[in-house]
Amino acid sequence: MSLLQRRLALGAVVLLLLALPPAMQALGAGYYISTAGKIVVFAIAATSLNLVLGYGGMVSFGHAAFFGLGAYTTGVLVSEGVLNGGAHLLATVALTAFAALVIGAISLRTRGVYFIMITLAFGQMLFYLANSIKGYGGDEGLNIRARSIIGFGLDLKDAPTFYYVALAVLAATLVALHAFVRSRFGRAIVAIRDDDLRAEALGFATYRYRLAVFVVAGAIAGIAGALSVNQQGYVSPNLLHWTQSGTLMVMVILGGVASLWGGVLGAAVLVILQEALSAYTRHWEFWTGWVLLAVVLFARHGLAGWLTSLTREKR
Amino acid sequence: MSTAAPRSALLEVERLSKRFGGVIASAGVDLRVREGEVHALIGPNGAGKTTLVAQLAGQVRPDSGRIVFAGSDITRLAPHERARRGLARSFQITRLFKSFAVRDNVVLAVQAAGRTEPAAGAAARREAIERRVDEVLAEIGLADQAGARIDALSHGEQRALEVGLAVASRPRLVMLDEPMAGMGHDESKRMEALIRRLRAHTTVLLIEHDVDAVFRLADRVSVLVSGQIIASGAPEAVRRDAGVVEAYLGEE
Repeated sequence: MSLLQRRLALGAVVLLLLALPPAMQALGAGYYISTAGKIVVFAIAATSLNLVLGYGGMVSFGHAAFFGLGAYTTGVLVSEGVLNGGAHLLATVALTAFAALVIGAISLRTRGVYFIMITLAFGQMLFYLANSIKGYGGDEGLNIRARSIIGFGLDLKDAPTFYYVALAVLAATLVALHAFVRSRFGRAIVAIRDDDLRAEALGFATYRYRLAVFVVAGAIAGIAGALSVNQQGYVSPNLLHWTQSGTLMVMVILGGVASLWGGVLGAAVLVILQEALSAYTRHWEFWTGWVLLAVVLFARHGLAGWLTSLTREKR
Repeated sequence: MSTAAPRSALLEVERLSKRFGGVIASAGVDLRVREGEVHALIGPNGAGKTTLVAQLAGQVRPDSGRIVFAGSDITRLAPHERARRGLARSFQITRLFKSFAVRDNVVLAVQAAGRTEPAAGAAARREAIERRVDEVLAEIGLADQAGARIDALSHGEQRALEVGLAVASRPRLVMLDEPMAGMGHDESKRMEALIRRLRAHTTVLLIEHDVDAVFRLADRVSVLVSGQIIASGAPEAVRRDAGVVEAYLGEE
């Protein structure tokens, strides 16, 4: 695709996403606006995991812990009567970044399978911690009646409003990721993924580069979590469970590892598959498994890679 | 850059020891590399050459002993800190960044060590990097392949790039770990010429199996056998050394 074609395609996608809520309402499918919002929240979380896993080459199996921690941070603040959205954002970023700093600083001293296991273990520690905090719902989770107040007269309880706010956060995340990949720092992190021994021998402080990326991705996942509790009005310890980390990982692999739109495509396809199949069968995960298998076998760079190859053949 | 006092070494290794379980890789290695020389390190397979390089570059921690580079003790420094001080290495098994084109590999190598002269402004700095990258590509004969992907290069070209990455940041000392491994005759000749050109501005510690090439290239030669330097000196003296002939050269 030429640059002009790419821009046109991007414009079309943006227009489509912006027109989604009114179009759904016109079609009498207003209920699905909240599904679209859910997809956008997962897209942000999956994109943050793609930063760690795809670009950074760190197979983190505890990423949902940051998502859940962000959701709890904002949820607890709301339940305590602090409704200022700016304060929620600040607290969420500070807490999830700190957690990612501690977990990353320890986990990144290990490699390969050990890294997978240690991030999994840290995630499960936070999962059990959330379960044990009786003051905020314990294993039953925490319901909140109010929402973050973000100004401009925007009410996050309103599904279309929430969708647009989440979409703005997703857009900012993608723009930042796009710039990051082209930056000197971003190229260094990909080089470190390619061959960390070589990168270090050349003078890159590989540990610090990796840790920085791990922390930033943790904070972005936290923001996605803060959005999630605002949409659901509910946060449960299950958000931190390792299967949730697995779901995010499936989204990244399905959509395309180390591709800008990978997290978005993966989140969209997985959530839609789940909603569509669960209407017909209780065993939707079985059928989703086949889709994942097909993608892994036949589209090695995920759906994003498959779409790119399609547009290339047309030329 | 300060000119070294006579006899003083750019790299000084004192009683370096390393064992892996029951295997002794380094048994008190003493080695001095003078500024400006091509110093060859030879020895039979399993003598501990690559482990020694890994200790000098920082990938492997020695059990005891001392490494002094350009006057300061670097024994405890991390690999990236050593690279930033101008101690670089290439690898016996080619290690390149496969997600990047040839030129971008060199750009990364120049940026990594942060050793380009401090220039005022981002534009000037970028220009200095670009200029250095062009130099390196010309030096290793890959200027025409700058945009090529790594897997499109021949084995010899990959080996040339391997060395190019190591010297891209103008290190004071570069350790080349068997740069001619697996090369054909013509490729070896080209690598030999490249190493000859390197010596104009860099001290070279050359680990090489091809003894003939070593004796053509080196100013001084050290022989490592069973984790110990058994001889060190001018090529001709080392070639005649009775202990060396018995332990290593004699078997060829």
